[in-house]
Amino acid sequence: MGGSSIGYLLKEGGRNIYANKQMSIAAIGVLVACMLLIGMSILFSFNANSFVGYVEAQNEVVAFLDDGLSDSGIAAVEKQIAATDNVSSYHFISKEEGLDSWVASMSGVTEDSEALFEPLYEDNVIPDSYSVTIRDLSQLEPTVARLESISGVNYVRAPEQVAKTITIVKQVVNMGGAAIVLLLIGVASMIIANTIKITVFNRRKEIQIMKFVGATNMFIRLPFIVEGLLLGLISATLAFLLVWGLYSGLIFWLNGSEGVAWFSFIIENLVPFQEMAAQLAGCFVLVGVTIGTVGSIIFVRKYLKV
Amino acid sequence: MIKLSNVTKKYESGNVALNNVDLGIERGEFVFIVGSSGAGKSTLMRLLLREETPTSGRIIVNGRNVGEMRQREIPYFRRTLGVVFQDFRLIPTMNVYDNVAFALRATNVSSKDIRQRVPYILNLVGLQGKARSMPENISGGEQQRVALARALVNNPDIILADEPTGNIDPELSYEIVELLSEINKVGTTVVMVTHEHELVAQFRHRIIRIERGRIVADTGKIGGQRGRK
Ligand SMILES: Nc1ncnc2c1ncn2[C@@H]1O[C@H](COP(=O)(O)OP(=O)(O)OP(=O)(O)O)[C@@H](O)[C@H]1O
Ligand SMILES: [Mg+2]
Repeated sequence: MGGSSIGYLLKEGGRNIYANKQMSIAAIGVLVACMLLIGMSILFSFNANSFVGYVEAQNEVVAFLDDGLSDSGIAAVEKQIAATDNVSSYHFISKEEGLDSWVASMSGVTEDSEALFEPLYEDNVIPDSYSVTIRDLSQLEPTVARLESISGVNYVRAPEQVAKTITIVKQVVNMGGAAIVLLLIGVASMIIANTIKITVFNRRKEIQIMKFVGATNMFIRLPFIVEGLLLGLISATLAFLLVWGLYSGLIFWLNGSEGVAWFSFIIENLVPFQEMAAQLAGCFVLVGVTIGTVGSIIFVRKYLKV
Repeated sequence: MIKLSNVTKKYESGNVALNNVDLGIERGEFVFIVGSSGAGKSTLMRLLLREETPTSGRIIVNGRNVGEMRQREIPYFRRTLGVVFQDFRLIPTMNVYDNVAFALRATNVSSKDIRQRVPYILNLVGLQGKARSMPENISGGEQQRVALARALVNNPDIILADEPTGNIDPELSYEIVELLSEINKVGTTVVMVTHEHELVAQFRHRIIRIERGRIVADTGKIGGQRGRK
């Protein structure tokens, strides 16, 4: 097919949409609503994942070393930690640093902390340790077991409960999001199919004439597929703009609102729209194109027995 | 050009529309098909177009076995035919020019060829001045000439016309058949179904009479045109 044919197809697809204004508007309305929900679940899982990621990053695993390990022993342990799977970074914390940070975490508990903690520095019971950050928290347990098996490591302190919760939250968010998206894609496909069905009905005379003058099935079907594609793309564009507006509005409202200060932490950690825009747009276009074409291909076949 | 051997068409309802029909039409012939209502004339046309398939028997059109044709071959087969219906079947939202060009666009003819071919054919059917008119604004006779132009524009080997004059005045009907006769003179085979005895009598063409699914009379091949009485 040449350039003029593509022009013809776009014109015909557009003509179908225009000739069928009410149905097209209804279809676009429902599609935009579906995509809006899809967009919202995507934005939600983005934020949930970012939030979880933030919590994840706060949680470090600490491997305490055997007391009195020599420098070469420490070096050997470090080598093995470095070679352990699922470890994204680590750093050494000496006895003194360990105590400093413990004392720092206690400061404010009592008035005169320095004097109170003074004796501890004389006989520092806190061992040398490695602070290790984990890449994938769902694999925390095996990783901790591997760290514990390193000779020279005394014991490992890990936020196991937090890890479990986070892993579950992640799964629920991602699977729930995927389920919603799939369901809505199904609904949207049916809408497209119904629109195509009506267009095919409205244009049955023309279709019949096309058959008699020897148009191929593909030639007869393509304008309807293009119609579905255009409906999908128009809806995707509108939905994208709407989600953008709503999300910006939400952030603006949350920032200006005193009453919700208690979750200012969440507000501060909301992912800026620009960071998700490309993925969101990509997803909308993909969904629009897929349901537009797949929906119409399947149903044009069904309604257009040539 | 057209050959039917032992053709029977039984609809799913049980109606036997054609019963054991044998028929041969040669290249360049002009054939009137006559017969009372329900005789099976349109069924014959639908079989020739491969809109229906025969229940039994063999149909050869333009060298192709219509009954055994594959689905994807049908469009290419139909491009060798020009079809005209009683109700014109023009697209009401397109002007005369586009209604004719439509047949070419639907078969992937280049726009350059379309721009040459459409005015030529409109001129042939005497509609050069009406290219921009909408179907609703021209007479029935003119609408049928648009339909004829659409049937002709692909240069078909055979014209199949099912009661093309059924909806238009007798005077204009004569013009349509005259036009078809002109086209026939240049070599196109024409098969035309009609009810109008006076019209048939005005031309010296072969006449086949069908009654209750059987051919009951056939004048055989007749040469030349008798013209207006
Ligand atoms: N699609 C169909 N399904 C069932 N029966 C049909 C169908 N089309 C036609 N028939 C029957 O087949 C017979 C022949 O019909 P056909 O349309 O071929 O007649 P015709 O000669 O064209 O009549 P007319 O002059 O009224 O157009 C009739 O009895 C008709 O009722
Ligand atoms: Mg009939």
